[in-house]
Amino acid sequence: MASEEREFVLDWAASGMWVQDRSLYLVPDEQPGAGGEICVTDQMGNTRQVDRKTFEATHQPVRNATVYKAIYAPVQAFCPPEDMHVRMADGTVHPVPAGDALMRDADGTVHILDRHTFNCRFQFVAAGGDRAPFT
Amino acid sequence: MDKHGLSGLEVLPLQRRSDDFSEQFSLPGDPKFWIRYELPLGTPLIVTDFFPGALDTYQMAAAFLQSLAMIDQGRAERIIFRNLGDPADQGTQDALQEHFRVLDAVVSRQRRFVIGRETHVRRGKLDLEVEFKTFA
Repeated sequence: MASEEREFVLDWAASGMWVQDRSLYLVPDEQPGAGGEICVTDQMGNTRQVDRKTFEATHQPVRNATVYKAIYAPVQAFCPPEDMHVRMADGTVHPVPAGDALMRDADGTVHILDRHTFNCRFQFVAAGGDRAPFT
Repeated sequence: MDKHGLSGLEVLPLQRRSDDFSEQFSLPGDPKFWIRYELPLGTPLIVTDFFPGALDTYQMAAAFLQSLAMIDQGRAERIIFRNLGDPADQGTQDALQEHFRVLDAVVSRQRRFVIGRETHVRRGKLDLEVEFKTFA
């Protein structure tokens, strides 16, 4: 039997739950390099170079100046209950397996996040709505 | 404070059994799920069996946290997972990656950091040693 295909426009206000990035980063107490970059370490010990100004605009220290967390800024997420394809605003079509998440940032940008990263990094804040809670 | 990181996680009906050498955890209805800690419990904490059975990564993370809390080792600072298998086997490498995914979920829940992870070959089998730290 052929699977049924249907197309719909995602209603973010109704279906997009509000979630918050809860991941922590270790930031060494050192001056940024010539390019303004610093090396941050995630909770699994993986390191990456980031622009210090950009990082500090979106993250804040927790208790001391070594551990940083994301500044409260909930974004919307939609986790499809079954495999689907998503047509982005630019017309490109992407597969989204069940369990992965469609994320909509504050500026309206939509991107796809794998299930593992979503489950580890993001925490449920509130059910769908037009406005982010506590903002 | 949720010191074990269990808040909001699925609660699994783990069954605990103890003998002179170990603490063991099983799940009714899932014969392939099995976690076994070697005695004495301490630093490092030795995990000799870590089999998710039918559980997915996040259920396994919940089961792991739950079992750690039950043996009062929720904040263990160093854990060694013994005998993951022959290092040359793809199955062993897959198991290692699954351990990393479970640990990723665990440190995320506990708001801790992995500050060291090393693999060793011991008697022809792969061991994974992980060190944790709480910074905040």
